[in-house]
Amino acid sequence: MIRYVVKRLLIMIPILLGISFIVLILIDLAPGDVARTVAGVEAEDWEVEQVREQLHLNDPLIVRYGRFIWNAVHGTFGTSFINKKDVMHDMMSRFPYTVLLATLSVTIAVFIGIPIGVYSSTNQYTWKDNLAIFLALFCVSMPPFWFALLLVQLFAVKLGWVPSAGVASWKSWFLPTFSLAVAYAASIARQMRSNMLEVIRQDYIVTSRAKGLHEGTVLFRHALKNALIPVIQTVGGLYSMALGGALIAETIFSMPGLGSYSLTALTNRDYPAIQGSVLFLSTVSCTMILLIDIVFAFVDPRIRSQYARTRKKAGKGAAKRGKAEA
Amino acid sequence: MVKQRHNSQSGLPEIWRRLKKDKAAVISMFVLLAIILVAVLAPLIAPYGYEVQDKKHPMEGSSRAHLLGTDRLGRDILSRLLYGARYSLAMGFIATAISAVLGIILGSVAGYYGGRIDNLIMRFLDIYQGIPMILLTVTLAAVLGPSLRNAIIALGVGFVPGTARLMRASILTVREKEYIEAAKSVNARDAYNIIKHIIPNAIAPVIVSITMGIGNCIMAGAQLSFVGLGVQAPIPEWGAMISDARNYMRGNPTLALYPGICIMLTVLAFNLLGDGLRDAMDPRLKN
Repeated sequence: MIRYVVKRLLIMIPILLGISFIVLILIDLAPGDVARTVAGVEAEDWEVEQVREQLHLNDPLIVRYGRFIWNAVHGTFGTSFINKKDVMHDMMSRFPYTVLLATLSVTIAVFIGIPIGVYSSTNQYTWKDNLAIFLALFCVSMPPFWFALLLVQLFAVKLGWVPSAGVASWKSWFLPTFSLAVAYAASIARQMRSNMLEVIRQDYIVTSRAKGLHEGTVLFRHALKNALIPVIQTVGGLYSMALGGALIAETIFSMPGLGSYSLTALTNRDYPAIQGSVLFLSTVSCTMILLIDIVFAFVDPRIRSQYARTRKKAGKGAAKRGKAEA
Repeated sequence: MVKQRHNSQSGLPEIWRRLKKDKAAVISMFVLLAIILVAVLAPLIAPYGYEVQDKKHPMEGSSRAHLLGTDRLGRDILSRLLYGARYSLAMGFIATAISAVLGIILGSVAGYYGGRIDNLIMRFLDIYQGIPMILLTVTLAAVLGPSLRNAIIALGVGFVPGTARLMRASILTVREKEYIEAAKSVNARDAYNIIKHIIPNAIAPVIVSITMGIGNCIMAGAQLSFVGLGVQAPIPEWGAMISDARNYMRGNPTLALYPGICIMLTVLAFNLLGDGLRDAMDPRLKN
């Protein structure tokens, strides 16, 4: 297990180095002159030159890349072109909002999505199942930003129950959380349903029914446990997506999170902030995916056994599973 | 019970026959055809041009002259929605085509050759996917500069890794089959082998993902336009229309309602069709 974790952690280093290189190249290729943006439109040529020299923009790409990595390792991404504040400091003060929003919405989605998926699969092809999957598909197909706007219009403007934006009171978390959770819950429910249907057809379920187990035991002890494994990955993927990309929800609800920070940076061409936030969000999202994989490996004996061959018990369990799968 | 009619298992007519039985998929096919028709015929069926401003009647509700009302500049909403189908669909189809072609090539090469080439491509995709998808497309669009063309490029590039991974996984299962070995043994060239034997047999899951990908691209494109990094005014792409209507939500919420419904309908239809295709192509779900 430890070997697996260490190996995965080591793989993350070149990935993050690669991401920062891609971001640097992208910015380098972008049309427009960074120095002129910083110096202002009315700056004289010599002023622009001075800024260029100050920002080390005349250095070759590889030198700038080295400097960026060196600084990033030391936890600095420079100061923002726009508000002249330290990018790292700004990001750290915004990060908790993003984490809270992602955690809340994914947690709610799990608690709505999994029961609906299980319920739907146990009532396959009845009107309840049809209604549930159609509703889920409906929610997945809805543009999330549009849904958010409609929520604001109904609950904040018309009914006045909750504030439409900001993070001033706990009430203002309702709409952003809900607007994200609905689509997440729908995709979890869809995934859960199809996994359950897949698992229910397996031989070991037939076996457990044949030996006279209570239907509840069959469903929850045998089917659900196995059907949940791929859902962990879906949930984790959604969580890393919410951490790394709730930029639109954050922007609509004017939440001071990292997503809205990166979006503002992008629209303003605030390069240190773009580099910082893209690398930061990618690190967070990669770490999340790593954590999911570790959890995944931990709950799935087939994967666990690959890295713990010496432990006989796990190996046997995996062999059994493998047979059931085939 | 599953083994009857084994030969036609993956044949196109068989898939079509089973797809036809799926009511939801058939309905969504008709809906999509209608939307495509609207997109193609927009100049003929739209009552006004998308830029025509009726300056006397801005921000009006539904009337005989303007069935769905007008926006802040007095432009006919219905006409803009009809024209919008062009831009939204174009975005979905072209971006998906780009990502499908690149993804299928990368995935096939990685899956077929394995070893060092596979490793190289997969590590590259790892880096690529390390950046959250939305962030990647937004960054690309912002860096390239906001326009329809750049939004399509950003989306197309953003969706590549998913297709490539799927294609590779699918190829890996096909690669080990006997008929591939047979083809190799009679000295078939690699390219011939990949194109003639491997891709046709491995493409099924990718087709499903491409179908849904079109819907996802339309959605992601609308998102780009919504944050101002996609299609620019006055082009009536649906996401851009929602973004435009956003500032007038309090006075006239229906303005944002219609384009959202259009996006939802289109994406829903692509998803239903994708679901139907997946079931039709799954040999285990026969009968």
